[in-house]
Amino acid sequence: MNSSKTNPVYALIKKEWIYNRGRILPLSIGLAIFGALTIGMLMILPDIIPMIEGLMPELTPEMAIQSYMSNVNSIVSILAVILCADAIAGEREKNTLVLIRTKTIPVYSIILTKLFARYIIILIGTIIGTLFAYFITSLLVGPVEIVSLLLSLAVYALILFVYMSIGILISTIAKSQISAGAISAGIVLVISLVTSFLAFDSIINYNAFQLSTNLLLRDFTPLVIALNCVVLFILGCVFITITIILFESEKEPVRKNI
Amino acid sequence: MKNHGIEIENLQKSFQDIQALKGVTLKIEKTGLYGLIGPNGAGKTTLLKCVSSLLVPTSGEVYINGNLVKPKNFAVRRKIGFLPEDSGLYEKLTAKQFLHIMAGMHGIPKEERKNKVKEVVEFVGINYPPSKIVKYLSTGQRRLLLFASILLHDPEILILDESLSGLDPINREHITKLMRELAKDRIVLFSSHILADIWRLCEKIFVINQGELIVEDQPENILSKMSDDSYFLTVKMGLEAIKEYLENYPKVSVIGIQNDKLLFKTENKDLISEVIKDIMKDFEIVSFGPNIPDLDQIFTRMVTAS
Repeated sequence: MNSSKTNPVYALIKKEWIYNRGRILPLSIGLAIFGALTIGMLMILPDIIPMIEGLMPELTPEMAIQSYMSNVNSIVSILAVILCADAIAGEREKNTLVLIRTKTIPVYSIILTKLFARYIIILIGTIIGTLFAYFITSLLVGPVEIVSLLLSLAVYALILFVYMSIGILISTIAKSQISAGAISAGIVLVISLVTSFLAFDSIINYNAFQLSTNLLLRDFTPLVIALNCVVLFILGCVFITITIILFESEKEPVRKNI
Repeated sequence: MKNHGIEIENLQKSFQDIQALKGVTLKIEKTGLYGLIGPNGAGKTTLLKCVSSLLVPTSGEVYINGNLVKPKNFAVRRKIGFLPEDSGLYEKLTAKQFLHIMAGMHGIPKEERKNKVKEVVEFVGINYPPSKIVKYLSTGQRRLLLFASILLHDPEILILDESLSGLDPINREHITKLMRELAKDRIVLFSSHILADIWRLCEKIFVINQGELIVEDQPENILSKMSDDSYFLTVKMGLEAIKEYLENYPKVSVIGIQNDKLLFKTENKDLISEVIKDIMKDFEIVSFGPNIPDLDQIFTRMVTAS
C-alpha cells in the first residue's frame, strides 16, 4: 500500500509555491526600477551636483553594473531573510505548523522545501531585475561584459543561499516572525557592512560575501573563485544542518513560541 | 510487544518546572468513543499531543497498535488522525485546495486525491462551495474542513482535542454524529469541556486532574458511584418546616437545603416510603426522588476528591 503513496513533500512544495508565487512580480519590478534608478543616479549625479564631478571617475558599464550588484547584495539579501522569517516562525504564529508536523514529512524536507521555495522566488526576481539593469546599462552607458555579469550573479546566488540559510535558522528559533525578520536583517546588514569595508588587496581574495560585486571590477583566478564558492556552499550547508538538528530535537515541535 | 489500540505507560511530561503529566497509565483496546475530561490545565492537550507524537514525553511510553510512538515513527503517525484544538488553517487557499494539499501531505497519490476528497467532503457534510477561500469560512465551516482533513488518510485512531468547543448546537450535533459513525470501526479519543457530550457519547471516561488520571470508568458506573443514596424533595411552601420535621424523625438524617431542594438520607432504603407518607400527612410535596448529582457536581466531586 505504501508503494502507491506519493511523496508528501510535493504537496508542501505546492503549498509554498501558492503562498509565495505572488512575490515574484513585485520583486522583479522593484529590482528593475531599483536598477534603473541606480544607473540613472550615477549618470545624472555629476550634473546635478557639480562638486562631485571631479571626484567621480567617468562612468563605465562595469562601474554601473557593479554599483547595482553592490546595492543588490545588501537590499535583496535583507529582503530575502525577511521573506524567510515566516517560514517556521510565521507558521508557529498562525498555528499552522501542526498541519505539517502531523503528516509524514521528514524535518529536513520541511526545512529544505521552505528554504528553496523562497530561494527560487528571490533568485527569479534578482535575475529578472539584473537582466533589466543589464539592458539599461547597455543602452545608456555602454556594453556590459555578459560573462562577468553571469559569473557575478552565480556567486551572488551562493551568497544568497548562505544568507537565507541564516534566515531559516533564525526563523526556527525565534519567538515571532517579526523578531526573526529583525534579527536576520540585522545579521545580514552587519555582515554586508563589515565585508564591504574589507576591500584591501591582502584580503580581497577571501572576502567571499563581496565576491559577486568585486568580480565585476577585478580579475580573480578561477581557483580563488572556486574556493570562495566552496566556502559559501559549505557555510550555507552548515547553517541548514544546524537548523535541521534544532528543529528535529525540539521536544515541543508545535509550540507557538519559545 | 503491545497489540491493538492505545497503550500509555507511566507517561510524564514536564515543561521547565511545570509537571504537566505525572505518570499517566491507560489502555484502550476496543473501538469506540472515549472521553477525556479535566479542568483547565489538567494536562488533557499535553496527553493527546504525546499520543499524537507532537510532544516528546519526558519519560514513559505510548504505543499505538503495538508500535512505539515517536516523532520519527511515520508508520505510527499514518495510523493517527489528530484534530488540534486551536490549529490555524492556510487562509489563502480555497477549501478544495486545502483538502487537496492535506491529502498530498498524507501521501495520497494524485489520481486518488479527487475521489478521496469528494468522499470525505460528502461524509463530513461540507456544503459550502469548494472554491470558497478558507479565510472567509465561519468557525463551524473551518472546524468541518479541519475535521475532513484528518480523515483523508483513513486513520485507525482519531484523537480529537476539544473538537466540539466553539461550535453552535447544530454543528456540535453534526460533529457528534460523525464521531459516533467513525467510532464504529476505530478508536476515537476526544477531550471536551462539555460534560454532557462526553457523558452521553462515551463508552469510557478518563478524568485527568493536575497531570494525573484520577478516574477511569464507564459513565453509568461513575454516576452510580457518585450517587450517595440520598433523596430530594421540593414543596411549594414550608421547606424549613419539613427540614425541622425530618431532623426529629428517627433514622433520617438531613443533608440540607440546596437550590430549593431538601436533601436527606434514610438509614435503609425500605424506610423511604414510610417517611414520605408521614410527610404527606402534614405537607404538600411537589416533587420527590433519588438525588442524582448533575454532571457538573460529579465532575467537581471527582476533581475535589482527587
